[in-house]
Amino acid sequence: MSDMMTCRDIFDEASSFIDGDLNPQRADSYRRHVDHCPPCADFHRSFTASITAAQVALATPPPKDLVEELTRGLMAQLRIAS
Amino acid sequence: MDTPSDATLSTLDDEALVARTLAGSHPAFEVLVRRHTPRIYALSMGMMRNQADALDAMQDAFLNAFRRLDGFRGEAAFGSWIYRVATNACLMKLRKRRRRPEVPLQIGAPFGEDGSWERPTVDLAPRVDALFESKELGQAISLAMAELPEIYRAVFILADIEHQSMREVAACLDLTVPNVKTRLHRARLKLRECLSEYLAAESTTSVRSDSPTPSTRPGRATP
Repeated sequence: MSDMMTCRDIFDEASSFIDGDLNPQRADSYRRHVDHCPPCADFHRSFTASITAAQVALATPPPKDLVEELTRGLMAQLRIAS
Repeated sequence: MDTPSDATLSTLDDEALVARTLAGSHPAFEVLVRRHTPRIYALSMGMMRNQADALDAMQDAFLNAFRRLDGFRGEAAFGSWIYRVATNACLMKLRKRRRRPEVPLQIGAPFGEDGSWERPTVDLAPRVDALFESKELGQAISLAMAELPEIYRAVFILADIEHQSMREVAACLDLTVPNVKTRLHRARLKLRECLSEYLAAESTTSVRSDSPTPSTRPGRATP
């Protein structure tokens, strides 16, 4: 595979890069391209920031009363069904 | 045989609790429910996007798990199995509610023939950081998740929020690993696109003096 990556390659292979799926040579090409291409640097930062944002927003533990409500309702249904 | 106390039950591993549940112990199943609720909650909230629907989906998931427990063979961990049951419960609820056929996931990819960007890109990272502080993050992500078709949403949540391996996600959703990787990448691209649109809409309704400067190739005019 050629050493040179296009911006389209960066767009297509961003997940492979951050998930560690690129071979070392290809990963180096990715890094070198992003280091020297401002639009791709913007894209890469935005791509990873979006994932982090979702991880923060969705990592909310359940409220304690919800756990109790769920468990009570569930066990009541199981007792009725038995 | 003495009935074990709740405290004793909670020291047992999942497989032992499953065995006791199959032998007729509801308290053993209750321990399993409490133990796995936090993770199933995160999955359900991500899929259903509101607490009431998430709670409904979770009830369905655990009831289905109870009814099908004799089908749990122990080849995978119970946690992975309950994820599969919960994901299917969420997907079934979403599909029942969907009035229109699912629209294919469209992602903008503005590249010229030489593979270079045709339009300026913007670094969202500083503005996403600002979302954390403004407490709008939840709303922004919720709107973005709504744009993802159900399977893409499930892949994204299982892989990036619940940190399941590609193999586990594939087993959960009856997909191949390459299929999961493709869908995950497209879901991440769509998420970025939706956040970009959200932030663009926010900036047209608020007075800001520090608009991000788009990056362009040398020689290209900034719109």
